[in-house]
Amino acid sequence: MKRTLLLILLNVVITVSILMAGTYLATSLVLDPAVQGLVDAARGLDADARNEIMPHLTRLDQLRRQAIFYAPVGFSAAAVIAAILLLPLIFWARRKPTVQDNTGQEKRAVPKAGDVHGDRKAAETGAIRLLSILQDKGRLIDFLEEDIKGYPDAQIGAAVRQIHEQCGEALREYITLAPVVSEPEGDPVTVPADFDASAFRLTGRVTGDPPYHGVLQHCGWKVTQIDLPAQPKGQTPRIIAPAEVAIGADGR
Amino acid sequence: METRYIIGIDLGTTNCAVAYVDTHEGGDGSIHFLHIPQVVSPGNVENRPLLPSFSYQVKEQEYPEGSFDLPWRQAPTDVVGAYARERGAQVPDRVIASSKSWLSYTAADRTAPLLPWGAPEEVPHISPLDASARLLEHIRHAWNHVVASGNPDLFLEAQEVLVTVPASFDATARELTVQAAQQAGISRVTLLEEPQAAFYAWIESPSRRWQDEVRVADVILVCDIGGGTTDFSLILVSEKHGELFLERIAVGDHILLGGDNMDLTLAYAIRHRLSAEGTKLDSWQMRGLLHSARQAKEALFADRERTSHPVTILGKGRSLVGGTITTELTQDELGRVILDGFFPKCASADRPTGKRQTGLKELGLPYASDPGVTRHLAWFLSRHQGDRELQGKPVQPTAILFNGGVMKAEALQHRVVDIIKGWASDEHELKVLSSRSLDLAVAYGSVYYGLARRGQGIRIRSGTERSYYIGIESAMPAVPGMAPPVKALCVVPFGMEEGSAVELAGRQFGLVVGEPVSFRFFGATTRHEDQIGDVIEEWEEAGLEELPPVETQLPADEAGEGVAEGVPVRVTLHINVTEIGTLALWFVSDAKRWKLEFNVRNP
Repeated sequence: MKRTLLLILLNVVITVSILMAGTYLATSLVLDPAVQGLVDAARGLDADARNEIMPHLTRLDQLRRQAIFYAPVGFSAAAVIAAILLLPLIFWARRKPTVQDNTGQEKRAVPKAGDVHGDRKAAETGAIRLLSILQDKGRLIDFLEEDIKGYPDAQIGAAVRQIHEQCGEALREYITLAPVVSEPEGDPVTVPADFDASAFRLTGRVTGDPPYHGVLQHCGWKVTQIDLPAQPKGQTPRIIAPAEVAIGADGR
Repeated sequence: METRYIIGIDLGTTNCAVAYVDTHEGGDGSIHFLHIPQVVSPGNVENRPLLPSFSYQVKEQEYPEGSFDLPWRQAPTDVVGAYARERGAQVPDRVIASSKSWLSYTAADRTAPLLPWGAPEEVPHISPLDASARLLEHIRHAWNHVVASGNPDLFLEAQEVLVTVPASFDATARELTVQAAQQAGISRVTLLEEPQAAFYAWIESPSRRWQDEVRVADVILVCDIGGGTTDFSLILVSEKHGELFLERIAVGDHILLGGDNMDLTLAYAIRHRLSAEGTKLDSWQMRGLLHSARQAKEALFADRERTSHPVTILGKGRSLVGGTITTELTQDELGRVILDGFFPKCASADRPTGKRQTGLKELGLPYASDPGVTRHLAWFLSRHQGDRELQGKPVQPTAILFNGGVMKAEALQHRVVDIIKGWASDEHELKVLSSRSLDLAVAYGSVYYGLARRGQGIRIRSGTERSYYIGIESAMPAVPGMAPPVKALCVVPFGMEEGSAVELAGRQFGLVVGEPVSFRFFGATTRHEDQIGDVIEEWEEAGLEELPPVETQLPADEAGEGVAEGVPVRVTLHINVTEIGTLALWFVSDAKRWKLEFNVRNP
């Protein structure tokens, strides 16, 4: 929106500067010799006629001088304004292109070069926070890091029931999930012409132009709300779960 | 002035809940629950409908900075709510629990720093009063943050606030609850008995008319079994001017027995079985077992067809699957431990065994020594056999309303119903009144009561839950080595209504100026016939229970013109039951009046 406004303004300013430059060129190349010729011709007339024509010639000469003076000033001013308007446009152009997904939200497609460090840092903090919550409530890290090859299915099953329940609870507490497509799996669906490539993965015979018609294989998942709390101020950033020590329980 | 919100706080023994109605909201003005922000683990604050009534005394350097920050409080030295309860199992010395039961425990000084009970000296101790105030303060801040969003006009302390108390709370405990609210910055609260609140929640149901479900002469038993306490009340339905009229006619004792005891017993039973099979559990695993056993109990009670439910204790340390212990809970075991243990079949003449011992005993909460809820119930009903409200008829409840999370289990409801039916001589009808969420009904009902006070619903006639007496010494010749016998003078009859005041006629007291005066104080839940001025000769045999004394002091400079120190002033006793549900005793002379304070310090 803002960018469009800037572009219109820039157009106006450039037009003005072109007009100014044109005026200057026309004045100095055409008007100048013409006025000079008139003045010279007037000098050859009789006094009465000269007196009659001179005020008009003087006026014309004044106009010429003004044009010669103001056109460059106007041109430079317009050039400076144009340069100022151009700066943010160049800045925008350097930012990533945006795409619209089917939720209508604008999102970043490519990380900005200068922000990579900050984004990684934020991603790391978020990941640690989430891992820490899943470990605290559902012992997910303990489970994933354990070698379970040797245990019978019944034992694994018993443990997984609890992990499944508690991790699920924790996940739903902090992250709201929804399917990308709400139709039941197996139903026919239409992929719109302007579909978001992140939101749809096409399989099978993908030929011709969208919209495509097909059968929904997987509804997809998207996060509709994420509500992870910030880490406590004094928390060492990469600790997911503290070591537990029972004081006074060593039996000595 | 009528406030915009009516807020009901269920200040529970194990969980608190807050309900409210916004009178500016259009439509039916439905009742909502406040989701209370609380720390659930270090650094995580979640909004939950229940606030566990636990408080944890944080040790310095024990947690990273900011672990317990709340939107309204930075770097607190205590944590209230879900995480405090969880810590209770890990670090029991630093957790304050059941502060409400301490508030009503007459053998302790309720303003002395006693809690956490039995903790080492280095743990900061607070009084039962402070502990209750702390819970209420958390609720006040939560409201001001969530609903008022910092707008002082909408702050909780500027609204009409109802706080529920067990029906068994005596005048002193009620007074202390009001004080705790004041200490928490809530200057005006109105008290309401929990079983009554649960009953109001039943009345307020959009789907049916309550008048269609009960009829005149019905006696409704409210059976409220919470996490830590059991509370019984009787409500009589009668008719007045063609309309149904409700009256709370009896309340039971404060029984420290509840759902937590049942879960713990179940966990210990399973541990005992495992240990017999050669598997030893440590305290860490015991916590997992408690959680898992509770789930198995709920699943089995929900589906009686199912014969067993797995109980899983995840391995400790990092070996989660490898260390997992699995066993199962069967319907048979559940029935033996919970149904037969806590709801045993018994006769109406049965009594709770092992009545509390007096004499030398370690101070600490007087937990019920008999776990049989049904025996406590039998004792409660039989003690109200002769109540005047029932005109000599035996107490046979015709309807029953269950409340408290434990009673969600239909199997338990059926057991209680069957037992009560068995007590009746003939074929006896006992209707179960089904209520809304048994966890939240008390908070919900208290808001309905707030609306009823504004004329938008029926009110239960209740009044004082006990009759009260002060001790007077008999005038008799002094016998060396023997204290003069004390008689009990009834000063408050049972059921004296809120907002009423009476004078004890025909009896004057000589109040000595400048000297503290103290009266022994008694209460009885079963003596409904005693009228003001009645004298009970043998108070112990008459079923009176001694409460901490009431006392006052009349300073010389307040006594009036020309009254010197050491001179007795003649006063009469005035009693009023306040609008907010507390009891006030006053000495009144020609010139002035002095309040008799409930002593909570020197039991």
